[in-house]
Amino acid sequence: MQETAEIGRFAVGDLVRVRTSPTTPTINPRTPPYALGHVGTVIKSYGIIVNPQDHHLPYKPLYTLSFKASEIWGPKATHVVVAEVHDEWLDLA
Amino acid sequence: MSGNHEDHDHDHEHEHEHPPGHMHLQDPDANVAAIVSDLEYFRRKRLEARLLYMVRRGYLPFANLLQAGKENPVLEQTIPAEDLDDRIKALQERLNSLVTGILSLQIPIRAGSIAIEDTRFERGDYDERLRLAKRIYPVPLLERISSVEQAMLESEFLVATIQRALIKSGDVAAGAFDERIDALKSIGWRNGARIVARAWVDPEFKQRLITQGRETVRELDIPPGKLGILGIAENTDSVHNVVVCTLCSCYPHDLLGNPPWWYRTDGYKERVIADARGMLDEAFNLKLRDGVEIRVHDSTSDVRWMVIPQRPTGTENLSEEELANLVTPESLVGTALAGQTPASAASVAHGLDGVL
Repeated sequence: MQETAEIGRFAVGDLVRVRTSPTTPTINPRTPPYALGHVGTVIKSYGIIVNPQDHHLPYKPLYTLSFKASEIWGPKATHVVVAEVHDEWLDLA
Repeated sequence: MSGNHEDHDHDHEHEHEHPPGHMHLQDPDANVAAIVSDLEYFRRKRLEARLLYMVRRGYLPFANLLQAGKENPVLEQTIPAEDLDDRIKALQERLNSLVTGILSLQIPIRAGSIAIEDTRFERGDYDERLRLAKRIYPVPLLERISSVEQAMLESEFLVATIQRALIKSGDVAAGAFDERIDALKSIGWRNGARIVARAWVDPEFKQRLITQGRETVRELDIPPGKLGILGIAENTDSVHNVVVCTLCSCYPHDLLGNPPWWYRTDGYKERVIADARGMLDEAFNLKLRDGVEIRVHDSTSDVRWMVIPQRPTGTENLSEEELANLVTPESLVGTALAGQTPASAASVAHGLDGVL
């Protein structure tokens, strides 16, 4: 993972699944609960960013993901939800 | 006030909460609900949370606070206006200055090193036991207003006392809070209006804005702020963007001031994320064609989003300044279109009823 540490493991267009629970105690807690376990599409990749917890040190790469709301809230939800999630919360779907 | 006196803006901090022309008080209940919602948010999450933080960190020992409280001239409730509308408007104005005062407490205090690791976990933000309680206000309107006036006074007193204690101990220079308040007053949604108007007339600016948001606003002499990445979501014929922060109330406020009051309500957060189309229709009277894709952007402290609304048709001959006047705080969040009167506080409060 060394060579991808700065840009992250995923590319725009990848389908990724958000993990259902934190994998380390110090993982960024700000992953939206409704997205856990759901599959989203990477629509933007930011690379490493400033740590959202201390607003100072570098932190794991960040992506903008797009989710179909209907897959989370049922067929009546016709919109798209766009949320930012960190590399450490994601696996290829 | 009329919209073409830009130079008077400094006298109306946070006027975006109640933009000109939207102050219809046909529904005092809804207006009071909006005030309560905002007051409670700033009291719980900004004022008292900040105070506890300062106490825990040793910036402000309890004893100093109590001492300053004794020395602070006691704030007294002014005699409320007889007219209900005037009384509610007075509360709105007090809320605006209180919010500025509370935000001024974010001033950096003694830059020395602290031997505590400053992570959210350590701070307890996610600790169930440290959840902040909401106050309950009486239901009958007049009782409710009296009780809001009292709560407002208590928070005003607390702000004044904290400021006095910090100045007295020498941790904050005298005058620093006033400077901070002046600086805060210059940040507001009109920055957003200017950004949007420039993006409408200059496609290359718009492109730079989308790729490098914060850096690009410098071109308009707007200070870019420093709160994470600025996400820019552009509305088109086929895509309509809406912004929310479901976890807290992240917003590019260092650039655009405070979002509209309902942005911080649980009702808005819970409904928009799960049923954007229904909520836009019912609470904001915004009906979008079936073919238009609605994208709800969930802001975090990493990326804070603003919307570039669509330029209204028939505005080809308007100057950039005139175009900026078509942009409303609501349109920057995506709950209204540019050039369209946003839904009143009353109808939003009704639309989000029961979940405020």
